[in-house]
Formats: sequence, C-alpha cells, structure tokens
Amino acid sequence: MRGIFHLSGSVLPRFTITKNFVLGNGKLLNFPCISCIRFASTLETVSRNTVKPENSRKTFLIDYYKNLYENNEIVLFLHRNNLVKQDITRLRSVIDEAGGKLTIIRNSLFNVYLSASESNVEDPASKEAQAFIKKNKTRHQLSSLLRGPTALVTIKQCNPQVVKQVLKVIKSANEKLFLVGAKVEQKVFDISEVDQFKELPTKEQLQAQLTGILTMLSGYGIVKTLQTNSSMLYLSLDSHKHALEEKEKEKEKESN
Amino acid sequence: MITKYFTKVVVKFNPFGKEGKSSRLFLAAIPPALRGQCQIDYEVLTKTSKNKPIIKVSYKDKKTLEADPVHSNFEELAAYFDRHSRKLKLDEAIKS
Repeated sequence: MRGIFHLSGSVLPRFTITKNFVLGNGKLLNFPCISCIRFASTLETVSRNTVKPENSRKTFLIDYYKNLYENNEIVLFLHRNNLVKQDITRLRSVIDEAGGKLTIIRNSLFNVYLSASESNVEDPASKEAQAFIKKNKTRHQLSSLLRGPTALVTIKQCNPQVVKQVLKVIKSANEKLFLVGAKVEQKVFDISEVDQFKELPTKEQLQAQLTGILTMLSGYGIVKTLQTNSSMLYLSLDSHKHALEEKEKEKEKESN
Repeated sequence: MITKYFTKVVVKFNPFGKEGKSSRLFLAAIPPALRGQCQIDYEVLTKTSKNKPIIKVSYKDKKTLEADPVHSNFEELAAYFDRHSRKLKLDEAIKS
C-alpha cells in the first residue's frame, strides 16, 4: 500500500500521504490517502471535533443513540435481568413483529447524549458538548432510568396499540425484562401513565371522533365558520370588533 | 453476593427514586442459573403508589431478611445479605 502513495521518492507518514484527484473540469483535488480511499466516491470530507476518534465505537454509539431517540416518537425504557442469548433472540423477533425494536444500550453513552441534548450543540460527541456537560451539572429527567442494566424498545409512530402489543410481549418475559419508564413524544411517563396511555385510541381515531362531535353537536357553527372562505371570517370578526368598540365607547360616555 | 441460598426475593422500587440503582443492581446480581430454585417477585412503584420500597430475601433455612434500598447502596445490601449466606455456607461445610 505504501508503495502506491509515496511521493517524490520519499515515503511519508501514513496520514500525511496525499493523492491528487482530477475532476471533470480539469481541476486537481488533493486528498489524504486514507480519506481518498474512503471518500473517493463522494469527494468530500466532513471533519468533526469529537472527544473520541471519529471512527471509534463510542462516537458511533452516541450518534446511534441520537438517531434512535430523535427519530422515534415512543421510547420504552426496560430493565433487563441477565438475558441469555436464546431469550434475547426470541424477544427481539417477537418485539419486531409487534412493531418495536429492542436495543441494549450502554448507560454512560446514552447519558452523554441526553445531557448534550439540553445544550444548543448539534453534535453530542463533540468537545463542545463535553465542555457543556462538565460545566452544567443538571441531570436529564430520564437519566435516573439509566442505572443498572437497561434496554430500549423504540417505536416510530405514536400509536398506543403498538405499545399495548409490545407490553404484552414484555409481560411474558416476567422478571427478565420489565418496563421502568418511557418517553412519549416529548414527555416522560412512569409505568402507571404508560398503562393509561396504551388504552387510548390512535391519534387518527381521536381526530375523527373530535370532528364527528363538532359536526354533530353545537360545534356545527364553529365548523361552518371555519369552512367558509377567509373574507367571510374576516368580516364576521371585524363586525364583532366593532361591536366591542361601541360598547367601550358607551361605557366611557356613561362614566363622563 | 452469595445468592446460592436464596429461595425467594421480593424487590419493590421506584425507578425514578434514589432506590432505583441499588434495587436494579441487586436484581441483576441474581444469576440466570438460579431461576429454577429462587422465586423473584418485583414491583415497580410510582409516585402515587402506597407501598414502600423494600428488598426482602428468604433463605433455604426459612429465615427472612429485609433491607431498605433507599438508604443503602448495592455494596451495603450485598454485605448485609451475605452475612447470613456465609453462616449457611459454614453449616453446609461442617455437615458435609
């Protein structure tokens, strides 16, 4: 490998070796050799100022936890008790069928993400995030659930029926795997709140019920007003404003 | 922690409370090999529940010990329950 990348007869240290790329318009691009192998297809390098090396497992896991937490509306926090390989494989497949995804996490790294998420720093693995965490001693509400062996079940859509299915599966695991808390959209729930939540109908059903009630009952007037074009709405609001102003003027006259 | 002589374990804790860590570490210290002979009862408490956090262990000689996970960490709990386990271990060694 070194023979390929040496320049002007002298072999340079591995990370300083560069190679030129010729672009379509005849311009030359200069790349470090490791990067040129990895990013040759994209022809761009994004450097991050991370605490641990960019390609390290810890940086990867922090990024992965960020992705899990932000792209899933429901995150269930579970306590796991010495799950043997057979148990975990079976539970993983059953939870997958129910519509969730089981992930075993490293508490300290998830804590780093949670603490960094409270700052304005975008990259939780960066040195800026670390400085913020060291300076700011406040703990995230969910960090109290990250004590002892923990697993997550992530659910993409906020659907109580999926939660019900997943909890049914988890209940069958008895003391090996049980629920300790949850994050639903932006709120933190304890187990009693999760039990109440799982009995709710889906968001779409609730919206359908609400519109049904509004059209059937006294809300008919509101729906009609909202359905009419904007000019009508403006005129009706304007007339209401005039009526209020007249009332105020009358009051002023009486007081004088 | 010597778990060999446990026959029943009852753990009640609130995961958001102080006792969360010690209780969960205690539960995790019971090996899967013990599942057949040791019954594990757990209860996850909430803010509104009336039960108090507790760890209760029954031994083979039917002695029961209780501990408060709020005011003790895992090491203290392990030392407390090991005291009787060691007695049983000594008895076993003398008898055999």
